[in-house]
Amino acid sequence: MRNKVISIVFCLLLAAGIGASVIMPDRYYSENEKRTLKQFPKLTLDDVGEGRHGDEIEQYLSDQFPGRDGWVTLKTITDRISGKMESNGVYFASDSYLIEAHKSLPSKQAKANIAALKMLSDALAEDNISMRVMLVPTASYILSDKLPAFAPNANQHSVIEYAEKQGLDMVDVTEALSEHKNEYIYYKTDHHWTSLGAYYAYAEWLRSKGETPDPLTTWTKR
Amino acid sequence: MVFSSLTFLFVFLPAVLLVYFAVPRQGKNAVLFLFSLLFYAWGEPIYVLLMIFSTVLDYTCGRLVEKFRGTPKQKIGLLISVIVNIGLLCFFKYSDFLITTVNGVFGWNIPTLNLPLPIGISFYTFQTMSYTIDVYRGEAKVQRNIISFGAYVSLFPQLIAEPIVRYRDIAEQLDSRAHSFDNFGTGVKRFVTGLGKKVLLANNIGLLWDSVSKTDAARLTTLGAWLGIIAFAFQIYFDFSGYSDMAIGLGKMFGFDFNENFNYPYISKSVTEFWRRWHISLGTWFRDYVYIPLGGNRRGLAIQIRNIAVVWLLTGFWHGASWNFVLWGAFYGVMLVCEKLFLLKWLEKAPAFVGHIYTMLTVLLGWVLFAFDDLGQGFEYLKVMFGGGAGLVSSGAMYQLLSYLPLILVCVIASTPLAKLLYGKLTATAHEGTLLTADIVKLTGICALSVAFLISGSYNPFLYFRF
Repeated sequence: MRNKVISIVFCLLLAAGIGASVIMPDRYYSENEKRTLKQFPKLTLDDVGEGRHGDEIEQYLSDQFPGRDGWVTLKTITDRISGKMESNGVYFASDSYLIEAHKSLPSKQAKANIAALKMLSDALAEDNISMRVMLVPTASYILSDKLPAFAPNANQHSVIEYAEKQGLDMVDVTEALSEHKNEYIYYKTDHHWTSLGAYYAYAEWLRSKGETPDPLTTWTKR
Repeated sequence: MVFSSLTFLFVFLPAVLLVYFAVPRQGKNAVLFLFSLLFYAWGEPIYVLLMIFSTVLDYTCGRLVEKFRGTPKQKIGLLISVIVNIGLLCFFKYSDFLITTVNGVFGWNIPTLNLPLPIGISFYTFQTMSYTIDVYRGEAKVQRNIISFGAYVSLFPQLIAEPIVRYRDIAEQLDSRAHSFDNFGTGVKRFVTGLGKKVLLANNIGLLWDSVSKTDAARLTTLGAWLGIIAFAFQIYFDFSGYSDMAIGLGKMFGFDFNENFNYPYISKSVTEFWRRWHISLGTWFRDYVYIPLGGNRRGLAIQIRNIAVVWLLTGFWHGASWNFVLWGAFYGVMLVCEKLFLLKWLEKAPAFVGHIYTMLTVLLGWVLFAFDDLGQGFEYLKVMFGGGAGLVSSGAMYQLLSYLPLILVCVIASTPLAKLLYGKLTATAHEGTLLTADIVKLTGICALSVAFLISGSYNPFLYFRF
């Protein structure tokens, strides 16, 4: 008797999955994931011969599965319950911050970029144009106290130091931002800084040029 | 196609169930055969021909053995089957290994073939060989219906992975088997348990191993290395036993009874016991078709030790065409001989926990050999495990420990028969309604979570690609 009910429940689950897939229209774009979703693949005989169709169809089924967003949420909740402290490269930080993880520095890329900046700066210097560079640390560096315990976190300041050594004129806003880390200078659910964070960087930039920034009170908040 | 995919769960499985239960009894094997070919061809369109070839070959060999029974010619069918099956396996799996070895020894430069390994070839060649051997020995009746035989060889529940089903074990079921809600429901429960083991446990703990194994040996700490290999041990166990559960469950849904393949191996108190509980169908195969024909343990200790050596070198080599697998097999051969000679006697006198710790340590060291194709890397890893790395602990390793501790604890509990015992107790005392609720909650819970993890594009590797 029990096995009969279980058999029926299982078949109903399969049928529900198929039924919902058939009824629900395919979506083109996912607002939550900010990407276009896989459409039913157009396959050639070659694709099938090489065995490429399997992955294509699996991807299609996964992207167009009914209630996809809900399933993804269920997975994230399960991850958090099971003790995971990050999801897809984003830390679950304290005070309900979601902070993008930067566990190691892309040293090769950073070196190449800094070398390119140096070339530009040298070229501009020939025409008597001065160039100053502001490398803005991300939330994971400034708000590192909020990260989970032992969370791997790259020392972003070392890149600024390296750039300075290469002879670039750097405007270091690390300290200016760190002083205000208890204010809302980075968004909680987005990797950008807030206007307030940008203001402190602007103020530091002007001060480093020996000028006085407009005080915060002269700006209107909308 | 793999079981742990949306394509299997929501397209293939419903289709095969629908057609299978719609056709009359005489047509059911044909349905299984056709769908199984489709299942195989889904990932390996070309190599399905190889499997059909293997089917026709062993079908013919079986008939030949039968036809010439009692005459000297009866060996012909047997020889063809063994030579061709082992030949196929060697050609597809070991030719590059052989070429590289020969090149290395003689300094030659023969180009490697770089053939993709036909999925499951190690499994189905062993199965078809076992059929002809069993017919030759008179332990199985010859199968005259090529569709039924094809259904046996290609049977999709156990086609591309475990367990290795011997023909004689399901010979009768091929021709007549019972379909009932009882079988179907039991099969569903087993299948879903396996799905959960694979998708929820193996894949997730596999992420930990994945990140540890990608760390430079120079940056790896002792804690990190132990965490990594423990994660690997759980990944491989829940992946393999989960796959076996899914196969056994699917078989049951179609009325077949496959033998058990894993029996809580990590609770063993000796390596001998471990191998009675781990991958049972492979051990049985080597026992029946290699160890016993060589004389087993009945021809003196020296011969027995030789036989153990042969079986374990082959077992190692069967797992992959690379030296680390040979060493892994040899390592177990040596451990088993040591246990036979003296260790088991000592272990019996010692308290149980000594046996548990000794066995798990041996198994974990074995997994290090198993996990790294490059022996140099494997030894480097062992060195880190015993203190020769970048210190004992790092904050990175602590982070991994904290992130995975709950999952590791779940894996530990799921490796023991605890849940089974509790369920048994519940069955003995609870009402039918309570039991049904428990079953349905478990079924829908595991299904929902598995679907969520499959959809979210989590890590879902196929570990059998090399077998």
